[in-house]
Amino acid sequence: MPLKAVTANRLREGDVVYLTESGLWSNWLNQATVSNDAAAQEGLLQRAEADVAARKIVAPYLIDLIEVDGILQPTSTRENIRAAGPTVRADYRTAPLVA
Amino acid sequence: MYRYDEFDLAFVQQRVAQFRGQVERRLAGELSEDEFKPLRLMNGLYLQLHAYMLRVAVPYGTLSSKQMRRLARIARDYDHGYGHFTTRQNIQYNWPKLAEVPDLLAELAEVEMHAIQTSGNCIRNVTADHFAGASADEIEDPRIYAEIIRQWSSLHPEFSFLPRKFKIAVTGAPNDRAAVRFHDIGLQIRRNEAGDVGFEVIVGGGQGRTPVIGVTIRKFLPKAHLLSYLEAILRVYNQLGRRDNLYKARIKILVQQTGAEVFTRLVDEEWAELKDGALTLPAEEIERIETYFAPPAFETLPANSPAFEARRFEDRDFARWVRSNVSAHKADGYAIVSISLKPEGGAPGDATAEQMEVVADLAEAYSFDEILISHEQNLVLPHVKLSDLPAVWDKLVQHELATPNIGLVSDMIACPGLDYCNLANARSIPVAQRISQRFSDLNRQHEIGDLKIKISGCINACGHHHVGHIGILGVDKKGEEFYQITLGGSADENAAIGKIVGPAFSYDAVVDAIDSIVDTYLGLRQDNEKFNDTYARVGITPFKEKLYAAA
Repeated sequence: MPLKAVTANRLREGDVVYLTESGLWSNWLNQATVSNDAAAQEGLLQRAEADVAARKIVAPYLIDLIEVDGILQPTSTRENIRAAGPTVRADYRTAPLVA
Repeated sequence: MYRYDEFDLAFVQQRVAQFRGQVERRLAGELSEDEFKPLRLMNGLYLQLHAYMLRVAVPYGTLSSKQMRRLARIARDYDHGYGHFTTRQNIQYNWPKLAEVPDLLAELAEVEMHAIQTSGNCIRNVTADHFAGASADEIEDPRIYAEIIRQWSSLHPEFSFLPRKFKIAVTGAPNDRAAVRFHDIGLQIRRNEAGDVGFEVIVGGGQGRTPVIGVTIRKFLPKAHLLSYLEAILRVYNQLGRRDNLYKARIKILVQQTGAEVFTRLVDEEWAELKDGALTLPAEEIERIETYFAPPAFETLPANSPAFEARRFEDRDFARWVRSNVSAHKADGYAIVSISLKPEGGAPGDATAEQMEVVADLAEAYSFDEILISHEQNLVLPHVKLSDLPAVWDKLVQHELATPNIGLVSDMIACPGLDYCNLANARSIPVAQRISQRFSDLNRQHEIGDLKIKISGCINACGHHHVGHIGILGVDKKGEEFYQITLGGSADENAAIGKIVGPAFSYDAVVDAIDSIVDTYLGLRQDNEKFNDTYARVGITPFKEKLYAAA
């Protein structure tokens, strides 16, 4: 089972966030809580759904990741772009994916 | 320019207040996301890849300086300092915060703008020729009728839940700059044999996964019947258009399935019920709207300006810009200036708040306070005196707005693609950026001449790839971005859909592929032939052979 984390958008602001171990939502992918266990991944999604009900976030879903030297990286181009911001305007990138 | 009357003002303000209440209820938990989503979409607010995105309508592409300044202020105060002009004469903000959107909409309402009907299965922003009111080939200003259609279609109760979205474009000129054959309804203003002015009505065009060239269902529709006839078309579509399959729901599929002849008959039967009824346009009402679009008070000027000619003679850069970015105006001594939003390495259609303000200042000083947005993602100053062109150019140069590439290889349409869009399969903007860098030699671009490259990041074709002379479609192949190339498309009066040249290219290889196609064209063209003429003469094979020779 590949490594997965939950991503969503904050309801009020709309920015891309990841569920962390403590249950907060972080703008930095590397702070995401991850799991390679299907049941645990389902659990993460359920925690996210609770935060949808609590009006913290919208549209949560699981994404596939790999970990390289302690850095979490999405496997898809789409999620890489979501994590790092548009590739076309360096001035508006939200966060570098790899420091 | 059209000014809101009391009805327009009241309904736009009501919508702002209504949406403010809806956002409050959403944030307070009284509305779920499922309940809220259709409401926000009715107000042009999407949730995209990174953030919310607000699409604001620029009706028939016309803005005053005051409105443009407000768009700039919104970019600065509510967004990241820039906006993106789209292929449907809208502007999109990529980073608004939900909680702030009601205030943003209130700011728009103050300058008679809104985001209503920029999303959802309704009649969208009506688009028009971006040289409207300025070009010499125009029979009448298409915006008069676009405005009449806007009033009829705004919050039209019967057409708020159509099978799918519905796009209308109007042109007043035989040279089609509004892509009327690629809209759900295209209206081309025509003069009939008796000399009366009316409309050719074209139906069922579109792009997306099923590109179709629209068919003419009425060669000449008298003006008085414009709305009753449109209503008849929409009624037939609303009743018979498919609602069971998203991909077969547009009117183009209905027209294909019933056949143009049967479709025309169905419309005529419906029209028989509506014709000469309440929707008949009185001549006085047309005149009333026409006065809003009356030509500005042009001065009587000689056809030439010595100051302009002198600068053109002395300054090669200026002369080159005039060649590509300045078009003939209907009034002597005036010109139409196209402002390129496609600088080398830039994101097509993006403008910063500062750039918007510069354009607003220029319009105020030199273009009767008027700005037009083109569906090719550029801006237009429609009425500039020839003698003012040097001053306008100097200012544009200072703000990276003077790229002399209108209609040339680097004047590409590109959708937001995977950099912003939730639906995209591949990036579009960086492909455009790399192509513009490959063709950075502007003299070479001028030698190549008119060449339209259009790039979409998915099959929905927002980047109009089907109608590019060279079209590029981003596809996802096992998680990797690939690009399929089509040749021979055209969105103008010679409407054509491009043909796929062969297997797709990787992200790294696609720019070389474009270069190869351009080289093949230059090697084969005769007597300054346009790309599509060469392509029509020699066919796809020479392009294919060169492209795939190494493989």
